[in-house]
Amino acid sequence: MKKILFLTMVVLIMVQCKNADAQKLKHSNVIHLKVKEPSDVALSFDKKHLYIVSDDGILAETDLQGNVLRKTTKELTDAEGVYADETYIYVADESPRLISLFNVKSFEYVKSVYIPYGGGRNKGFESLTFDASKKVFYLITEKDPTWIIELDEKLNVQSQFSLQEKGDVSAATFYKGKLWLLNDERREILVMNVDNKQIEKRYQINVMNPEGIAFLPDGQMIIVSDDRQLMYFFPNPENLSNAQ
Amino acid sequence: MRSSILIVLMLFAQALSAQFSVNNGKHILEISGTVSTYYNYRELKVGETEKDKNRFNLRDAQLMIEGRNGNLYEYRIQMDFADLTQGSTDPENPGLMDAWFKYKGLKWFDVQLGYGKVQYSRSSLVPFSYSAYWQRPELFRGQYFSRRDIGLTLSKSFWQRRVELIAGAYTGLGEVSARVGDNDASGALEYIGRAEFCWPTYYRNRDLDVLHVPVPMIALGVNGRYANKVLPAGTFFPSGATGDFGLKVISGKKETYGFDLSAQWKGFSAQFELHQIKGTPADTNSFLLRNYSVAQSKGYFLSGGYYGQMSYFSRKLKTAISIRYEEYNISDLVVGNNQRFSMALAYQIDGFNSMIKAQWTHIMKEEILDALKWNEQFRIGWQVMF
Repeated sequence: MKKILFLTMVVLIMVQCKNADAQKLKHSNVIHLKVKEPSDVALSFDKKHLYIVSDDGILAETDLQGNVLRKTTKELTDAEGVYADETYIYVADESPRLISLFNVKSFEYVKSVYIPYGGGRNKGFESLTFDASKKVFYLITEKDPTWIIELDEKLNVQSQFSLQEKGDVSAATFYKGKLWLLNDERREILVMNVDNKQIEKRYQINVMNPEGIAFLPDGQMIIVSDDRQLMYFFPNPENLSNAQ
Repeated sequence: MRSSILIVLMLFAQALSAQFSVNNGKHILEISGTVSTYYNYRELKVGETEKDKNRFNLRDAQLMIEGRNGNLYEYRIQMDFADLTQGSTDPENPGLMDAWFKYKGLKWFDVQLGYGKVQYSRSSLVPFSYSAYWQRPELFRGQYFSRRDIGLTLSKSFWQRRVELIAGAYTGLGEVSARVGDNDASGALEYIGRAEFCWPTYYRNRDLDVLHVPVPMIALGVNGRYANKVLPAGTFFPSGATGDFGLKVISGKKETYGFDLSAQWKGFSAQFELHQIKGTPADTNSFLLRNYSVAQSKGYFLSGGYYGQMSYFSRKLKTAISIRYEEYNISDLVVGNNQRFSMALAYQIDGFNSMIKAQWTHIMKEEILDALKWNEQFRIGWQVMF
């Protein structure tokens, strides 16, 4: 029995070591955030600020270094996704299936839009982003299954398709014509071509519980860790790919 | 034919989407459940002939309804129809598993009221479906201390949930409390406290590191429980309350202390837990003092033990392997103790939602108070969560 046990363990570890199909990224800097349990991050329309949402229902505006400038007074339930245009900040509230809108200038709550979804309570809307060229919002469920729901500018559901990937989707952002998806459980970034729904690239990051992704004006990629309350800065992965 | 059935079952399992919910924009209610069945085989000791335990067993037929109303209220009702059908109050796997609500509107702590798991022992708190095994270690199967009860629990977490403090008061009859309704004739309650520290982040109640966390994580818990139930002459505890060895609830003072440690990193995980029970029966002629005089026993008995478990989860193979060693003593007033070694293998078809598990247990040593008919046990089965 001991021999069987030992051999099984060796086989498991050997097979595990062979897994290396994603390009590994190394962060260049990391900072501690003052927003508890940060669950997503988005760049403001004027590219001067960040919006960070948290599991305990807070929307905060920060500078590009994560210093908090202001917070909303309205309590959200379980804010998991955020996107901002020149007029509104859109927050995806996972449990109540809401997208709540806040005025960019006043930071006041404007309204909420209810998007029905019958999946698990904590497997609901984790990500929200926008494709400016197609005028399409992407609202994404976490897992079991992962649905990528396309909404028009007025937040009406237009269509949806499922993502056939292991793990989950904890955040998304639209960058240079591609949908960048963050996979928390696998600690991977998937780059999707939304026209053919294919994953074109994937990157591995060594960040625990990554829940937010965005790109800064200088091209740096930022990843927010929920459990560790940290924000990681990465060199632009596209440059890395081009260099290789 | 068999292979066709298996393929159909595999396809069904692949398509599982756990949990469904209904929602009105503020109040969300979720329905989920677990069904599991295993085959059990026992290797009997020489001279033993009863093979009634070589059988299929429906372990779980659970349905759970849980909800959240805004930011203030959470609740859960969970039933296991497999145990309800059998009419048993198996403390490891009772028919009524949860019936509680939590109020989160107070500044200093959250309040939970109702029937559910008491916050004692990390191993007891790990949901069974997230384990590679078909059976918990003996200490945590509800014969030495209760795993569930009716009562009030106050909890508060700090420092990004790295520290959690929990205190509660309960009827003190364990899983039987829900069935009986009344307390025993002493009317006394049981009090439980637990403190947990995690590093570097919040550590969920899980045995396996399926996420392959990139930095080492640990969770350290210390907990204690106290009851002083002195039955009036001529009264008894409700049937089933005292457990198989008569020490789960005693007439007298019972103090229980324990600590637990869990760690995980890159697929490896380990757990260790140690518990000691000190029972001081009110009646010095209690059978728990095993006919020793007060001078000899000092009026109390000790019970408890420890267990250690190590696991590795391969994401590539979607398989976990785990080994466990446990050593425990029912009473220090009786010579001998118990030692067991177990091994488990779990293959995830669709994560924990569909998992085939196998467990082998070998009794290395046993004391006379719990002499069993078998010395090897093998279980293999399938759990599906929806």
